[in-house]
Order: sequence, then structure tokens, then C-alpha cells
Amino acid sequence: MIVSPTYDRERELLSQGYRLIAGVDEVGRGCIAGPVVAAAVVLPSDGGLPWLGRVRDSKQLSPRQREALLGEIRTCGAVVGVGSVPHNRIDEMGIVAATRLAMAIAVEELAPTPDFLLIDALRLPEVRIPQQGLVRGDQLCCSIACASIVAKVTRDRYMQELDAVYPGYGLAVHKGYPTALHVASLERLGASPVHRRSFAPVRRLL
Amino acid sequence: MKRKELGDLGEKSAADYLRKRGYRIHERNYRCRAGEIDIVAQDRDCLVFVEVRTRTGPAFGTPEESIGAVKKGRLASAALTYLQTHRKLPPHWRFDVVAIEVGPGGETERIELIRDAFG
Repeated sequence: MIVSPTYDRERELLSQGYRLIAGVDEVGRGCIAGPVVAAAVVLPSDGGLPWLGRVRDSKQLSPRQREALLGEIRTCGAVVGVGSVPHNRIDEMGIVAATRLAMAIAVEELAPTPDFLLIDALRLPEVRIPQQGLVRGDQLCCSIACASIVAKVTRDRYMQELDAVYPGYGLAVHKGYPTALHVASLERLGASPVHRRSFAPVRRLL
Repeated sequence: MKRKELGDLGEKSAADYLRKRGYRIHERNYRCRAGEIDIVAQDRDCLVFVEVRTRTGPAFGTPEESIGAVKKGRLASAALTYLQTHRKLPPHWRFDVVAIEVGPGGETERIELIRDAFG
């Protein structure tokens, strides 16, 4: 049963005196090509977001639904930050560090600076803002779900551009995830400059 | 230590460090509509727009790459505004990043200067 994310945690934090609560999530962690992209979103706290009920974790939405909700997020007065770490740096740092860096960049991009972070699945002790990591946060918490939508749409658009530069792998379709089609085209064509050489399915072929 | 205090401390350490390296500090916390610059300094005949990054503990990633696209844009816009609104400018300009690693008690552990970070 799919339960929609709620604004409860944010409401509770607001009642504790926090003013700017950011939801943080990332996308592209399991991909074998392209960057990892994170987003941070501070939703306006004065309520009146009728579309909030349609928000889900980005993986549970169709591309069209995601695009529509991105439009709502971008025009409702929310503060949005995006951070990405490219494939070569993922190879050098490892995906965990790269994911954390992308999230830290996204948070840093927020102006004004938030006073509390709700982060999907992780904590960022490096970032000196009070915070909470929530397992399955993108399914529980509206702000995190909104961040997942921003990250997903941003990354998907970028992967479509990459597909134009490196055609033949189907990047526009699978967005760099290791689908059967992707792995097959990897075997046929070899790794492109944007494949993550440290990831097993790619390393195997080198 | 709170984030803002950490930042302020870092900026002061950065200014001291740059002075020791022979930079002349023109302005701190330059703010305009388009953006903000932590330190505007001069290194011989080059105007330097300095962004200070303060981190606790060893950082993941380089200081320059921790600066996102929007922030970079604001730095660039603020730099252009500065160049357009000041006279008797040096013949060259660039961006530097000063990265400061702070220990748990607020002690400065490491300072790194990245010249021409966005060359």
C-alpha cells in the first residue's frame, strides 16, 4: 500500500521554532554512467500548497507527473538548491562520498540557509546544520519527496543531453541505470567517456 | 559551533592568511544585488575575488567543487558588478578559494589557498 508523504515532520519542526526546513534527496546513485545529482528544497511554510497531496517519491511518479510537480515547486516560492558530482569524481571518491558531496553542495546552494535538514537515508555531519536522516524519507516526508522530484527531473534532462553526445547506449531511456539494454550496448560499444569505470559492470569490460 | 560563527571565524583566518601571503585586502563581505564576495584582495597586479570555505573535519571533495552552479553565478555577477563600479582597477583579475579546515573546538587545522580556482 502506498502511503503519501506528509508534512507532519516539517510542521512539528516549525512548532519547535525552526523556520526554514530543507528536504534533501539524491538520484543516480545506482547508475553506471553520468553524475549523481542531489537537491534540497525548502517548501513555503505558510501552507496553501494544494498540489502537495500529489507529491510522492519521484520513483512513484510518471515523467509527466514529475515535470508538472517540478513546475509547482519552482513557482510556489520554495527555495531550491541542486548539486551534482560527475562520473569521473565518482570513480575517484567512491559513490558514497560523491553522494554526500552532491547533497552538501545542494544544501549550500540554498539562500537563505536553512536551519534544519531532513535528509533521505543519510546524515551529513560535515554540514553544520541541525538535521535528521530518515530511512525511506522520500516516501515519508513532503520536503524530501519534493527534493527527489527536483533531483530526478534535473538529472533526467541532463542524461538526455548526454544521450545526444554519446548515442547508442540508450542513455535517454534508462538514464544510466544498468538495464539489460544498457549492459548489452556497453558490451557492444565499450565504455563511453561518461561511464563510471569504477562500477563493476563497466570495469568488467575494460 | 554554529554555522555562521564558523563562517565568520573562517573568514577572519582567511584574511590573516592572505595578508601573510602578501595580498592586500581591499574589502570584506562585498555585497551587491547580484551576489556577494567574501574577500576582495589584490595580489601584485591582480585583483582577486576570494571565496572562503570553512569545513569541520577533512572534507570530501575539493573546496572548489563544493561550490554549486548558482553560487558560482552569484560570485561571477558580484565580481562583474565590482569591476563596473570601481575605478583604478589592476590590469588583471581572478578568483581564488581559501579552504579552512577547523577542528572540533574551533581551532584552525589547515588552510589551503587555491589560486585561479575557476580559471
